[in-house]
Amino acid sequence: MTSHGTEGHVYIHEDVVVRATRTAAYLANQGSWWSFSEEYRYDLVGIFGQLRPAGRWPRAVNLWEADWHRIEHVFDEQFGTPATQAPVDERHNDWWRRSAGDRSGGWDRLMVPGPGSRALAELQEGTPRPCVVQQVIALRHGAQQDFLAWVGERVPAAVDGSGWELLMSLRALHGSTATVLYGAPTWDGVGQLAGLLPVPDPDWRPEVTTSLLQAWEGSALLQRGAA
Amino acid sequence: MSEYWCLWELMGDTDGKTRGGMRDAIAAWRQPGWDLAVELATVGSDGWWPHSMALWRITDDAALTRALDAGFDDGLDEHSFHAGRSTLFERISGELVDRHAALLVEHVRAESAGALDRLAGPDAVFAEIFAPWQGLAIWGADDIFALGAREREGMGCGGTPGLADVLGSWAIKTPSRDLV
Repeated sequence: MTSHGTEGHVYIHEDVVVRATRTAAYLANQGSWWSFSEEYRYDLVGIFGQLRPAGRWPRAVNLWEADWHRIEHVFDEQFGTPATQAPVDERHNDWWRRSAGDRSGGWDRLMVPGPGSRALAELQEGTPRPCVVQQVIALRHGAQQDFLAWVGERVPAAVDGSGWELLMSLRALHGSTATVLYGAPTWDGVGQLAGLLPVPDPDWRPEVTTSLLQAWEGSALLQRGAA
Repeated sequence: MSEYWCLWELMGDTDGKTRGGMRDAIAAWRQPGWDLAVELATVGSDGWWPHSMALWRITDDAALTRALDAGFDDGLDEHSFHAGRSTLFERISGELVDRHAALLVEHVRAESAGALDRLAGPDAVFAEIFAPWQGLAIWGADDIFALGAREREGMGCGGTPGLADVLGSWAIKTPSRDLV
């Protein structure tokens, strides 16, 4: 699989700290509103909650697909001078207040795709895959590109036929981490997936944090027949 | 795999989310096929505090899948802790010793997959299923005094060739009295 579909794309990965028992409420509210001007709207690839068997909890992940043009304008609306900020919208403020009750903070990363990473439009093909294994890999400084090239080359063949597929592979723009996502229609075979994943080069000094994520049912990557 | 192991680590706070409360929340959580192998309170002078751990033995793939299908609202009292994290393992050597009430729990990261197989001395060694060069080494003794004696004799993975990183803490099986 080539990465032609992601050319020009920039991703925003948000690791959101959720308040106790509010994960489901956070996901639904987060997916119900867009904060900024419609012309600059990012595409929300998915909203996910981290599950008990592996990950951080209560925590959520928001994954957005955008490009520099949209990111610059949205940042300017949010953080620019009063003249460029978006006008006050009480519906937005209501949404924000609800969300503030569901979460307390987060850690965001601007990310760019590696070879074999799929764009949202490609993720919307075939059987929906709401079950996601996320690996955040801290790497030796300078090893990101080699690691992602290796993922794109080795992983698809390694997991072929397992029911699991490589969804996305991303590298943090400002840091030495990479994030790799695998997806499947159900959790069946998740233990077998672990045994199929190839072991990365020790020279990259990979330190992996694995989380099992459940996609919110309204997530764009689960929708089919979209324009 | 025939069985998995899952380590929970719960971070409390000193304003009510105590190790005793976290112990109670762990004990109240029910999931078919998840057997609580050991429940621990980290010793405050060697690690995070207040901090509790639970090591679950997951009997089979079906038990793992059921817990995932249960979703976010699986009955765990999330008000009893500040933040939690969990990791899935397979056991690669040794066994937990039931009489051992004082433990050294070490997170280890090897320079290559397979190095964890060569660790000798811990009661049990576990490897992460999704990153088998990362693991858990658990060393035990009957009580704190015996753990101290074992420590003085030489215990732990520090300095072991082939390891890139080791981070350990003393822990005890949480007593029935409340423990902040």
